[in-house]
Amino acid sequence: MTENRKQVLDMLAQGKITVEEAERLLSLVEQPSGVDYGTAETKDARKPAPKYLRVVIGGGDDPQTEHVNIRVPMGLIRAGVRLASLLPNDATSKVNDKLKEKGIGIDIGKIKPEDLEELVDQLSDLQVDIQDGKETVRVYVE
Amino acid sequence: MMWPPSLLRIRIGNSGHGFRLWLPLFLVWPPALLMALCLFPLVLLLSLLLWPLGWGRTMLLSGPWFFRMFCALRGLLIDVKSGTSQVYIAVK
Repeated sequence: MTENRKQVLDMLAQGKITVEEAERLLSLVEQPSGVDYGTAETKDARKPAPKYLRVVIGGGDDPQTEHVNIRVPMGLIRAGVRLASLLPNDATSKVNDKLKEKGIGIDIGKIKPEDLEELVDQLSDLQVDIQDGKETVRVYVE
Repeated sequence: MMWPPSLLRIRIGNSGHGFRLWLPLFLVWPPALLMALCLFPLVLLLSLLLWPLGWGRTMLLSGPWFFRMFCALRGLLIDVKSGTSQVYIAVK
């Protein structure tokens, strides 16, 4: 048994991760390691595009506690953000004014599709992991 | 190639009681396509009328945007459980 595999199983035994998460981690650990990915840049280039934004909130294996599992396709986020480019100038300036009132100095009229692509691509490195007792909140991209 | 979702599953309620829906969305594709074709001239006319007000482009591009949004729904999963209550929505 490899060290990584043992670590994942230990985390599962300690209740730090759920069975689904353990399965996902094990599948990553068991990927063939003989492949040479070269430099960090080529590794990033080969990294598959993120498909889903995942939000998992849970209270361990207790079925009585609240459990939230949300999977949002990245395409839906892209389409949602592109809505800004459809807005007419009047509406865009109104949105900008409201954003300024809230202290956000963004001109949504200047957001270009390629910027959005870059923004969504950068989400691939997003990972939020909060644990408080048995309660866990995980936000990640898969 | 973008494909619209083909199945929608909704489960709301307690265990044993509640509302379950399995909707084959692929059956909606042909009538939706027909409706879109029928509405296209109207949208074109409205966008021409609204062009001076600045909403013409929005009107014209909203159709493709809705289609893209609808296609992007494929893979959406919402699963919320609290005790015996559950809300489950899956688009495939």
